[in-house]
Amino acid sequence: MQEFLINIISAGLYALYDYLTAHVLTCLVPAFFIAGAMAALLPKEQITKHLGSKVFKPKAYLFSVIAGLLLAVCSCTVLPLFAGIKKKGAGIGPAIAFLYTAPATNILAILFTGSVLGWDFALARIILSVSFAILIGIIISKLFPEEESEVGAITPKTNYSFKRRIFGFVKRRLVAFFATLFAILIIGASKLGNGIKIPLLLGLITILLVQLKVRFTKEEIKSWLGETYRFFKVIFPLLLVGILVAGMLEKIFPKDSLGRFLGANTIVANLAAVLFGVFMYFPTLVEVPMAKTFLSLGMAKGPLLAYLLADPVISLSSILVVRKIMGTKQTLVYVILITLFTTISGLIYGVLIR
Amino acid sequence: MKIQVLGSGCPNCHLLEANAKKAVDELSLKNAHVEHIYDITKIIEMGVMMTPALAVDGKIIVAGRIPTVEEIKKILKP
Repeated sequence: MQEFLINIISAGLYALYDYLTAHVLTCLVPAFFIAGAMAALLPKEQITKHLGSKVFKPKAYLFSVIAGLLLAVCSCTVLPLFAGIKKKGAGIGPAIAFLYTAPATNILAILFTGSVLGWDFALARIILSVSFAILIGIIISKLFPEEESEVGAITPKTNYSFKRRIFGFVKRRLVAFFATLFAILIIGASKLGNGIKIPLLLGLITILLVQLKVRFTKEEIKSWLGETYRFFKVIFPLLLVGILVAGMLEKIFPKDSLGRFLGANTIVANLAAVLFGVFMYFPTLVEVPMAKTFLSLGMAKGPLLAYLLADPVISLSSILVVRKIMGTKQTLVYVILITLFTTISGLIYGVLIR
Repeated sequence: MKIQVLGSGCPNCHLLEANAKKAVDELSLKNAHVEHIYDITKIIEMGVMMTPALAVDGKIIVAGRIPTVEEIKKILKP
């Protein structure tokens, strides 16, 4: 018994060691800085102003998805923005598109998925999430037609004229800045030898520092680092616990114990994986090491993708909160549609990669 | 002066509230009162899409980010 416990704990610790050396330093650290920069530096009004009530619908859907991709790195900004788009902006369809995209295509989750489970998973996660977001949005807005709201949302006017005057400059410096950050991430995660990698990284970091010094104010840098630190503080401790638990689970359950139920790419296996994602709640990013454990316990890749698509988007707690804003009927339709779509996409993915 | 912090209760909103209170203290404004609005429907009614947000006398000043104490002081200065 004692030996068994020691085995389990050491498996968990080994998983932690493995993640910390392989994935965290090269992928997650730059990813946290990118997420922090997105939260602190992107001109949010430039995106939300396209989500008003008088905006051409296809454009509103497009910008809802962009807002989901770029703005909502933190779950506490998602619900107000969702309620705002629904009640004072472009309506229920784009609001749903945003609600779905925001947790599903969270930049940290996508990058982490890619480095742990492979980039085919990460890519499938983005493409499928964005298409489902728009489809489900359109279906719900057709099922529940609503009156156009009269009052548009007010966007804060401070610094607006100032911002517009230097808009071209703002855009260019941000593009260069994010490009440098992503280059650091890609080089860091690449398989280059240390002899090439380290000089390249040092060069890129120097470029980043020069950009910061020349093109950004002290306030901006402070708020960037502040946001980065906040993400780190909220997400990282939970992630460490999640990795430890995932590593221990892998040891506790016999190999291939999931193989019997979830090892084949069937409708039942995909649906079961989706429902598991709905009823189990994992903190942000923890779904990734969990998924890796499931994979090594014999889960097939189709159901695994179905699980990864469903887990961050719907959980019991998020269903309850969304119900407050859209009402029971719409929430029910929303949940059923997501279950249906994620199950089907797991099936299709499972067939494609065979 | 009515200062309102809008946010549904996430860490960011609390940080903004703390910054606002500190700004008021440091300027030693007598008539200023900091209020935190948690109710999401009320926040939407005020026309805010990105929280946390800061409103002074009913007018939205900052939305979607956390202004520093210095920045809030500049806004509140008579």
